[in-house]
Amino acid sequence: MIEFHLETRSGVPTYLQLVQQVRQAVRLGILHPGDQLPTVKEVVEQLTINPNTVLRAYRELDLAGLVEGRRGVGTFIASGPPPVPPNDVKTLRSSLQRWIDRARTAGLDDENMSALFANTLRPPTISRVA
Amino acid sequence: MIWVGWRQQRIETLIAAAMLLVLAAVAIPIGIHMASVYSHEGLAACARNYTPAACGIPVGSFLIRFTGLNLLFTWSTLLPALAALLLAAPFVLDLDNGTYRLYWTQSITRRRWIVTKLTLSVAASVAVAASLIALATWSRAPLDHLNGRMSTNSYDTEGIVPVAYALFVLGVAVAIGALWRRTVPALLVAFAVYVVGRVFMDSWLRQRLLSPVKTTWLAASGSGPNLNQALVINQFISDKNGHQLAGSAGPCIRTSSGLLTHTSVCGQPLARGAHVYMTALYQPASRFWELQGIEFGIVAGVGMLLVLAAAWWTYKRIA
Amino acid sequence: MNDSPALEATALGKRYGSNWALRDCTLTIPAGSVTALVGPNGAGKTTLLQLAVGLIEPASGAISVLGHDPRAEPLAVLPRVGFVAQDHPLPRRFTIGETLRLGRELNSSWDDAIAERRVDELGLSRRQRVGTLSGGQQAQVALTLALAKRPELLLLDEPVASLDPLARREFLTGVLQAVTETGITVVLSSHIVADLERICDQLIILAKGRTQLVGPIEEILGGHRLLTGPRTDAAAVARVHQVIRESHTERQTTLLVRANGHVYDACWETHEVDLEEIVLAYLGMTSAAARVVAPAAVAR
Repeated sequence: MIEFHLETRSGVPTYLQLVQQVRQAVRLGILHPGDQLPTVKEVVEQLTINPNTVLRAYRELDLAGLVEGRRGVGTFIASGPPPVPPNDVKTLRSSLQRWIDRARTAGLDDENMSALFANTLRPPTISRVA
Repeated sequence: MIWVGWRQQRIETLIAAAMLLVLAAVAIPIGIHMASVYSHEGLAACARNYTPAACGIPVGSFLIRFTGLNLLFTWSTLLPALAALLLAAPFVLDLDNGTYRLYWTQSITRRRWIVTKLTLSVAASVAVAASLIALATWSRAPLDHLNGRMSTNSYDTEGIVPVAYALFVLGVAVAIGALWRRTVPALLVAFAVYVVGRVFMDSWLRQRLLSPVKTTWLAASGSGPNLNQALVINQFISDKNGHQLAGSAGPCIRTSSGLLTHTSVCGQPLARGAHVYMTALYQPASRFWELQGIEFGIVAGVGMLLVLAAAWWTYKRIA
Repeated sequence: MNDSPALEATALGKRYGSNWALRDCTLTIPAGSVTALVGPNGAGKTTLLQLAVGLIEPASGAISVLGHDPRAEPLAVLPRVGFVAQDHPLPRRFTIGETLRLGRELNSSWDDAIAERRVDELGLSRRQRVGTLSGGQQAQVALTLALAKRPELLLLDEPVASLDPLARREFLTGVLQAVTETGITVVLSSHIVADLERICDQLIILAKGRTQLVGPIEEILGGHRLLTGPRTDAAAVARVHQVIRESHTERQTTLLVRANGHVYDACWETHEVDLEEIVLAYLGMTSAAARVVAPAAVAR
């Protein structure tokens, strides 16, 4: 069973943090297909957050095909989420390492690299401006 | 709602009842004893027809013997006022400490809360006063037969006037509480108003609620009115027409009939046959109920108006 | 959950003497939402909530709660609205059992089972006098009274202001569990801004008796940006967007804006802002210290 946590000042909306934590848990093998996610009530009890937020996160995960809701029972990890193929991970890792080497040569330290990376990487749903 | 209102004034009602019980615990044994002495000594005859020879000493010693009960009831005239203060407290407390915000946001209307609370306070105050009346009337009976009911320790504990004062004090307390919303000051001010009002009424106004009777008689003739049981406002040596004689010795004349018409005694027996007149200004004992009714109308009337005013202010103004 | 709003205010105003505690307040609270009513002391939060529950009367405008006027039709509103006043007043002499009986006697829609279950979950004894409970426990009892009448709308006036952090957490969890179970609408006033985003989905900012900002929190977060750039005048930006707060150092200018569309000017770096910063910026707008000359916090 996954236990959620919240980073309140991260700038990432709450529901998205929950979504990301579920994805991460699946990736890392903490959650397997068929495992049940905590009920809304349990998450509210644990985190003191708005139940609508939990419902939204679970809806997003459902739409993404990662979980399936069974009425009256709960929300469960869907069988067979496409894992990242290990070869892709290797290729990505080595190209990332090359980029890091180039950045170091150009004079960026670790913090500069992190800032640049974070600034360039924006979750798609937040860049919408009302 | 009734249960809630009752539960809120439960302690206050019990304290008022306790005061009554203490009074009863003292007054009832004395009353029983006094009644038996009264009948044993045949004092009923003296009450009907006082003759100084036969009744002077027995009555005098009886009165002195049971003077304690008189004193007890003088103090117990405060009881209706104290009970009313206690029973006003829950209403004012709710306004003072903000719990009215809890009661007015349940599912009953503000009006229902106000009406129920005040009705319960009024009912309890009246009940306490009525109990006092019953207790005083019963236990004081022999004293009342001898001395009448016009002096404060019976007038203010019997009849219906105690109810009036309970309503008056309740009205003042809840009215001040509705405006000021501070409990202890409201109750203290209400008590102060009561004391002032009682003193004013007892010493001045009561005598004048009806025009007093004025009678003039020949002092030595013994044909003066029976002032034993009356409320004597003034008594003095006068001329035939009732005008007070200048330089007279004051109202402490012992008439030839031997009656002590005032508490102070002066040692000036009149010579038989002297043409000295006495005039007395008084409310006769027969006017007891009439005076009680008028006083009740005024005092209870003011009290109930204030209760209604408190209800109105609370209904309209409070946030 | 239906579609009509739980609460609607139209040009609502309340005056005490010559002082307007609330003025020109127009807002709608959707059914099923959890709304934070935020503002400094004296901003009008208590006034708004008391108007909603009929404790006071508007001086101007109108308020409609669950479709009814709370002053004109108290019996149509009171049974459906749970209210916990500031400092959660309770009859201190009563035991908890008697307090529950109070709720039962004064509320036609009272559900004993809800009340009993909550008291059991809180681990409280029926015989304990309310006056001897801790602040957190009293707040929970007050909340129980409000929830056991099965309201559709719950109004809480600074419910956690005087509570320690644990009691605060437990109280809010209780409220949110009620939302989970029944879908009630909640309006919660507070002068504490932290943790709002996790608990609420709507925001009302009140200051000096007027609404400063009203709307869904997600839209607010999406619509405000922190702009940082080399020191310059805010006028160019202010022509397009609404500048809520500006601050300057020697070399840098920081602007918190309510963006009207995308921010195109390339000289500005755009950052998201968290809710607490936005609220503080709006509250700062109404106080004298509108200009802050110091490095402003930059959200990640």
